Amino acid sequence: MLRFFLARVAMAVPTLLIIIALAFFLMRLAPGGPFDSARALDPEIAKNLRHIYKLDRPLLEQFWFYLQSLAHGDFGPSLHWRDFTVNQLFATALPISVALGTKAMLLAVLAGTALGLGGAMSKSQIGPRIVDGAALFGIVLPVFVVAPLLQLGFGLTLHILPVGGWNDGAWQNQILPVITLALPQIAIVARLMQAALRDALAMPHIRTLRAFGMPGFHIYGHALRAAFPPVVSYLGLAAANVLTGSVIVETIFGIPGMGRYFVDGALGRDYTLVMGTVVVVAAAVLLFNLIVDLVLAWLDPRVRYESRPG
Amino acid sequence: MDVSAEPLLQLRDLRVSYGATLAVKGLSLTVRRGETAAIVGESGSGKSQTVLAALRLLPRHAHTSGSVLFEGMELLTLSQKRLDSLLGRRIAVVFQEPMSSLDPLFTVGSQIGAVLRLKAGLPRRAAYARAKELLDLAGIAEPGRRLHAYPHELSGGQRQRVAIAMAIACNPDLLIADEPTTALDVTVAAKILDLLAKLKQSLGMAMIFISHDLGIVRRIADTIHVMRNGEIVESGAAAKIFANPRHDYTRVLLENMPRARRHARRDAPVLLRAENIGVKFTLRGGLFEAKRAFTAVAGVSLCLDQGRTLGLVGESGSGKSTLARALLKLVPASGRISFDGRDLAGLDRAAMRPLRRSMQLVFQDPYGSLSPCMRVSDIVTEGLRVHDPAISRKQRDTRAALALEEVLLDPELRQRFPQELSGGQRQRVAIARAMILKPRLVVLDEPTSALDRTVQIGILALLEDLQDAHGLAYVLISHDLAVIRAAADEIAVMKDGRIVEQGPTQDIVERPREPYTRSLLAAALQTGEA
Amino acid sequence: MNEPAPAMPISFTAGATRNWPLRVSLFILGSIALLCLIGPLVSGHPYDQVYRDYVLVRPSLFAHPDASEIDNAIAAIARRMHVHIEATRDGETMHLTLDAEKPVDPRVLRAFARSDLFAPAHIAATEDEGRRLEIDVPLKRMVFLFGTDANGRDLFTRVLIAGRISLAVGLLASFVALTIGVAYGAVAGYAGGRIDSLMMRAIEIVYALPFIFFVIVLVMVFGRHFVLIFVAIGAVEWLDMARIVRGQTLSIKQRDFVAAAEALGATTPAILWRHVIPNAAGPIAAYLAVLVPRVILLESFVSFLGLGVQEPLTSWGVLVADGARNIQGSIHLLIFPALFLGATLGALQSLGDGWRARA
Repeated sequence: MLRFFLARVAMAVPTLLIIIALAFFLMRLAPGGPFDSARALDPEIAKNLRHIYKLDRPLLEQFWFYLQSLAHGDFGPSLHWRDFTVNQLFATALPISVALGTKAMLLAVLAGTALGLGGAMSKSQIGPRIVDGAALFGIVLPVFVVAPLLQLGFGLTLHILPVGGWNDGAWQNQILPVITLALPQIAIVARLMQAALRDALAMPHIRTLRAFGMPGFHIYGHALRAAFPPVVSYLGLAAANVLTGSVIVETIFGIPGMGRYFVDGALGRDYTLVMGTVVVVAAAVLLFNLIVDLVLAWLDPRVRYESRPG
Repeated sequence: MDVSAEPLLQLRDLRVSYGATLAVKGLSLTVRRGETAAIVGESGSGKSQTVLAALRLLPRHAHTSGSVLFEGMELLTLSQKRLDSLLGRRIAVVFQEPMSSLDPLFTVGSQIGAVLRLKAGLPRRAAYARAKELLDLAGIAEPGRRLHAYPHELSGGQRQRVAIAMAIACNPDLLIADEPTTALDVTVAAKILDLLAKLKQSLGMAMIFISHDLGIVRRIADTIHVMRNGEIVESGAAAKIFANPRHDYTRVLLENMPRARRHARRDAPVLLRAENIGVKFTLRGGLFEAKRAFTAVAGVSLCLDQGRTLGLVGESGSGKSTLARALLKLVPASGRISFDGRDLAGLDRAAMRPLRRSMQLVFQDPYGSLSPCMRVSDIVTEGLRVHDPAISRKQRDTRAALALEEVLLDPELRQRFPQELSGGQRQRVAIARAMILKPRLVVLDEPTSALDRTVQIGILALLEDLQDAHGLAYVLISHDLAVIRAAADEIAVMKDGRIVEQGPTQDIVERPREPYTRSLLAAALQTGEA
Repeated sequence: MNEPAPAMPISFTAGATRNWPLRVSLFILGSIALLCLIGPLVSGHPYDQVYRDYVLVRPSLFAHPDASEIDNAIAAIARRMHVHIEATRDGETMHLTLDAEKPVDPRVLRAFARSDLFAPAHIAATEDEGRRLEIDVPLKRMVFLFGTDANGRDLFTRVLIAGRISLAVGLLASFVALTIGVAYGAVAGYAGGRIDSLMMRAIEIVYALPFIFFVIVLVMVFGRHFVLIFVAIGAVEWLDMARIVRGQTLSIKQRDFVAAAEALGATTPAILWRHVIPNAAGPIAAYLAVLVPRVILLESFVSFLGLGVQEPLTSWGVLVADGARNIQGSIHLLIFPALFLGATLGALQSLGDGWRARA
């Protein structure tokens, strides 16, 4: 198990490095720079700024500088919000995004599993179809449609929840963003869970349990255990999807998280800010995938003996 | 067998239907205490459906009617709770696939332990101790260590022993074994059969033994019920059925492979000679793992005359299929191969191409060896496209029709897709694809293993006719000694990538020298064949 | 010869094959596609035509202008031109009587012409030395089925034009993804060994980045050009396709019919063409049906953030973003594009599900 873990970590590190390099050079290939704003700067000032931010050095040298400062945990100064470093921006933004993301994931897993279990256990044909149909809605309704509708319903019409803002993380402000983020994931997890459970219930070893007249809780316990791996392996992708959704959700609800900084940074060609976001996001996704792999290995004894599952 | 013993299980007019299709059509049979009843039939005859229906294990959309009495209790209308209290405790089941019938995510010990705790009410520690005893009883070495093994860490035979240990955990009155040996190699199957017979004796159970093979059933069954198309066509005491089968279908099932070969041309020239063939595979490890080399075939030498058949026999994993592909230069191999006096050693893929029309291959699985996207006519004439590209579409069609006639298929079938054909028809199509090029050597890789016995006999007869008509040489690969004995002039016995014994068929069958050959033969004999 | 009956299906889902969701999905998709193609031609409104007199009009089946709109418009003109107007309506023409202190400025006629409500007016009679003017003004009849947006553009036309863009992006980007994915996957799967594992490693790396970030970086690099959007989306969405094709190639390579073709002496291109590609086509087509809605969704994501299609061109994502901004008061701006987007995505999704269940 330890060997498995180490092999996984060892693979994640070069992956992260390559992503950083990819993003770095791709962005510098783009025409235009951070100081080409609408009101033209004095060429002398622009030149000075470029010098200060080392933008006038050769590209490889810049990359080397960037890696060096990254190694010290320094994301560099923001080129857009020139009074802040990227670290300062992240210090407030990251906890907000993490809080939203983890809550949404938790909600997705719990609600999705419950719905999927309910659908698979229902004796009639109707139960699974209801879950499938509801899930279809959850999957095809884009986050940016759901969010305004929720704002309209709970905020503007019923006046029970705030329409937006963060308000230092007051729970009322978190409810709508978390639900919006979680909704499509709940739908997908429910569908996956239901399908996996139905497959599991049709497996020969479950038939063996039935043939031995084992009690229902025992049978469903085994089926659930067999159904978890496909659902867990989806969670890696779910994390990436939640991150994607958070960009939209933070924009709509006016939440000062990572997603919003990313969009603003991209629009303002804030190299360091965008790079910082890419690094943090990629690291988060890799970390989550690592956890997923470990959980899978823990769930399925067959995986533990291979270093590359699936 | 005590005929007067009281009935334990009685099926009366049992019917199983899926929508409009009837899988079991009004079946009745009685199993008495201590009796072993065998239900025999080919795949799709409804034998498994019968017992699954009796225990209410069929999926929801299956409809079951009739009556199933266990000690006078009607199982079909019993409450689920009372049925559950019978299952596992009084009635136990062993399924065909030992890999998939055990939960891959739990240790063997915890699975047997769960049965003991939940069905026999043993506390955890006692269940653990009893599970160990049961594994011992089922003939598993080091039961204490095996308790902590996961199913995938065990061999097929060991897994089936675990399934049996689980089944006998509560000393059932009735053990239902659904093709318990079909997925296993013959030598292993023979041992499992011995175990079942022994356990049945010592525990005094009744047993329902389901099999497609009358031969296997011979040693173990008191009564035999022969099923076909959802009905019992003949029932009776085992001895009687074997001595005097009344129904035609039973006779077909009992029919052995045609015995001796008629021709054995000794003077024919050598067609294929292989010396010191070796095949190694490198298993690619992960990023941080060393490559592992795996030797599939080592130091094999053999020689085949024109118009004769060499039988390669061995159990799964013995390297016989790899050897066959190596002989045709389809996998890279070391050693020397000469075909019709020509050394194949230095030939690359392009240089081999003209030779390919003389050396062909027929596969085991007629489902996998035909592309589902192509029509039969395109499949059969694929070789012509390669070797006679000038041939017109119309000529190809004519050739396809002729080729199908040669393998005794209706030429009209050439417009169909493989999915629309039966297993036997598909294998004939595969043979036609090989024969259309008029080859001189055909490697037959388990050509009959995926087929029912009645179909097997037809295919073997066809192969023999083709051999006589065209003077073909065959390399016939099989795990089934009965097939090899019926068709081969010479036998080579393979084990772990090497040939352990080689010689004329008669010598090998009657005077085997190697212990391994003897055990293979013994297993084949025990299971009734040969 | 003996025909074994096909083995009984032992599955809990058997018997649940349903055809109607497939048909309904196809019908919905067909209708939307047809509407998007033909609708803008017959709606009577160019997609970028601004009607300053019809800003944020509510959806309605009836033609504009209605009585109150006419009154308001006439009152506005009267105020602007400092005249007193008496109006009587006669079918599709208004008879107006203009009174003023001074002779009426003939420019008043241009005010009518500039309005979106009226066709050019002509003078029927001049009295009182030009201080009293009788004019006939025909009404312009216009229908705004889905209402208009904050700039006074017809939403119906815009939704359909946006549909064209969204569907086009969906198809074209999927095609880009298909081409890259099939080529990459087939090469990796066919080559096998070290090349395969290197190529798959590369995919895993790009996979670790959430798509939206990658698309945004790409859009940032290439600019906000329409064509580049689907190149950018196609460039990130090919990963799954490549994986699927590679998996298929690998497993088909193992199948006996490929070995049989090799034994027949068939060449590599012939094997790929006759055996591998036809047998991989089913899963590829099924995945394509899932890919198209994903691409459409991704495009609307990017457009929602303002990084995608630029005004006055539009896509469903842009319209939804617009609707979300005007949610208080003009809910129709959100509802209609969201409805079209949702219906398209839902139909495509269930189409893909149905195909995958069959493949």
